[in-house]
Amino acid sequence: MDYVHSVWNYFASICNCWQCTEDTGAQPNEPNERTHLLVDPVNHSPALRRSNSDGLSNDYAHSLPKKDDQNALSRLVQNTAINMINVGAMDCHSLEHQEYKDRIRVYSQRLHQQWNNVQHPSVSMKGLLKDVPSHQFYLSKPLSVEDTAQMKLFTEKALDSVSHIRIDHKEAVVVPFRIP
Amino acid sequence: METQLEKVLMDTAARPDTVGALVANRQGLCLVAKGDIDPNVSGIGMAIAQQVAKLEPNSTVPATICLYSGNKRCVIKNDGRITAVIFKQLTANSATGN
Amino acid sequence: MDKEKSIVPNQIGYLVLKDDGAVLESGGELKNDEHSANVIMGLLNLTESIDESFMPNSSCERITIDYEEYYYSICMSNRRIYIVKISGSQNGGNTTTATASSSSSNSVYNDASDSAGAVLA
Repeated sequence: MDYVHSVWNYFASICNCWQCTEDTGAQPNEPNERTHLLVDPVNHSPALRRSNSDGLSNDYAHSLPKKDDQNALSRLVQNTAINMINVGAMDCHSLEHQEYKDRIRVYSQRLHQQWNNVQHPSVSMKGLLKDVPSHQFYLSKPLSVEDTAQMKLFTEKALDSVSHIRIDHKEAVVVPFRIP
Repeated sequence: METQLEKVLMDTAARPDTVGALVANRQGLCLVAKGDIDPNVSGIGMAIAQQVAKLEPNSTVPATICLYSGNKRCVIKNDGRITAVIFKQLTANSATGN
Repeated sequence: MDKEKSIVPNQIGYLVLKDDGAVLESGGELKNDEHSANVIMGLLNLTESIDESFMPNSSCERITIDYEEYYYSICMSNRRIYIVKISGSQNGGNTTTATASSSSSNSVYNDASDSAGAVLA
């Protein structure tokens, strides 16, 4: 179990290094926006105790079945402990207030640059209208009086014609059913 | 008879700059279409007219809607029982006449 | 009305909306008129074109809704949607129907004149 952990830590540290050097290129030791806030939390969590207690509880589970409840409880405690990261005990890179502010500025600047480079799919307006250079020019254009007049005449005549549509039936449209 | 309605459509479609015209019923189904206009336009035409009808529900005058795109215009009007759609396009003749 | 921003002559109300429909500015008869804003946003987002083979998608420079006594004129510029309610069906407002219909040259349209729009802008 310890062996597995050491191998895991080794891999984790390699991954960290890769991430540091990947994009920014320069200064892999210098903290940047890609540096993890918690350096390798697995190493510092109380998870190391896991192996011993796991074995114990397994033994008990077989020999003393009536202590199932207690086992379940202790397993809960263990799982909680495993998922806990003791931040205070870790050797973290602490930030001075000024440095913190500087970073905010640098990161928001970079974010802004990236944002401008991104092709925003939502920008392309969906709908009937297209974006015009001058709203005043188009809004102040007069109505087409001709269109309104044509449409008025058209709808009046069409409505009149529609109301004249009738069915030329040669047989009875309503057929009486033989209801006993 | 519907021949009368067809004649009305033909008259309108023959007007200057008019590309095509159609009349739809309350369900948005095309009754007659004349000229270069897809009868399937009746559905969306009615939907547009119905949406605009919500703008001033108390108005006694039915609104005439006009969409302008380049030298083309689409005129839509709904007066309760029918929806009429006319497609218009500015021809070279009328453009030079301006 | 004097204090209201004037976008076009004979304006009796206006709305300026964000492209998501939020009211940015309003005045006159359309002051705080969220109902009209919602209905018109519903209209604009109903479809991209009435018929793609006739008008390309999202190609309308302007939409008008005519109620004879007044009309609405709608367009979008710089991702803002402008809605103005204008009195009178005719351009002048006071011109009679007879003169307007006789001067056919006045009612020939070409909204495609983008160059003219740029000059005016």
